[in-house]
Amino acid sequence: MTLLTPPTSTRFTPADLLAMPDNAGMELVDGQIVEKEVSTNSSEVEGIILSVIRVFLLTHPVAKVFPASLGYTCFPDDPDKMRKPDVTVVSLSRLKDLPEGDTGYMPIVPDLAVEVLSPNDVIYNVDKKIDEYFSAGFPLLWIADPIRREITVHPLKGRPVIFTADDEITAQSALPGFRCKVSEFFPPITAVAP
Amino acid sequence: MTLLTDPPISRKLHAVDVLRMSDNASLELVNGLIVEKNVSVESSEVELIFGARILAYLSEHPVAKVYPGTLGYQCFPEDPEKFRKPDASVVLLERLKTLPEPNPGYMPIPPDLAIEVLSPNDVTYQTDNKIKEYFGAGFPLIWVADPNLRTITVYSRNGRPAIFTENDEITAESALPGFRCKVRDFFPATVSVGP
Repeated sequence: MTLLTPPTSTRFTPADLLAMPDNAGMELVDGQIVEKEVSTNSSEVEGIILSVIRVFLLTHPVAKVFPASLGYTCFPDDPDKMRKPDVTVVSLSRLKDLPEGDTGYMPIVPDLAVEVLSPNDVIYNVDKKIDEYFSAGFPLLWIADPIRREITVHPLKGRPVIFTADDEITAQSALPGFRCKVSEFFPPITAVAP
Repeated sequence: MTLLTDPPISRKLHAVDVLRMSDNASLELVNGLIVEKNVSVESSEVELIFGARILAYLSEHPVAKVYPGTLGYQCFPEDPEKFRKPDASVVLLERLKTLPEPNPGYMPIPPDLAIEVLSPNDVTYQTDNKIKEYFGAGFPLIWVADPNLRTITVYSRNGRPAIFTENDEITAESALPGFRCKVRDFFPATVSVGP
């Protein structure tokens, strides 16, 4: 998380950010713009997870899957907070309940949020994000680690569990019937320039 | 991990060079370069609690020794001068007996249990890489303690990684036969310090 504006007394709102031209990797916390950590590797993994879920939804149209360009404004402690999980899933039945009109942001929590770790992610910031998501009522989080090729599943109620490359993972009620080998979420192991 | 020699110098340092430095407690040597371990108030406290709990157990069951984060392990085959300092570590007495000299400056064999306590500036990829390094050197069991989430993730060479939360009981497998402790007992009581 990099603070892009020197902390100022000016508090930005989600609407301000939406009006900015280059807002794809930006989030809003305490009225300040922060930039998400990204990397080649994590971007690739985001793309793979997105497409695996998308393929499942083609034959099982129960939800929509969104990339990291979608911001969520669903944090009761800070109505102007906006976070962009790397991949999210929202069930169609819950999307139907949304008020009319597109505000630019998703005002309800996703049924599944996926964060992919990148090289500059500080562990405590990841922990803090998990806390934030749970406080907002996110029911299910996946933290994907491209280095260890693992996914840690954090359910709102229940204990975190690590799924390793050969394990099969489900998305519980976010994607009924979905199963995938963890290794399929990660690129094949081929050497890429350091 | 902060690179202390900046810019990287061309002469690679040896483990013994660092041993002769006066303030070397939190320094490690990787590829001949000195790196400093990340620390924090909370992680320092947790390190000590781990040491104290294990020491208390060992006073009743003298099967091993426990060391704090000042002890360096120089046991990495791919980089013979490399040494790392796990925040706490346990070596069985029977393995200590096999050491060629009784009091080396660095431990030349991997510990039976290595413990790393996360601190606020630790980056996930670096921790991942450290685990990879430790396994590469033959460490059998690694605990990564997260004072923020109050969890311990157990990485075992022969098993799958598992997260233990506050109310779980943890064992140290063959590193400390018979040892059991509730995860929450390794973390300070939740009293807020500072702002």
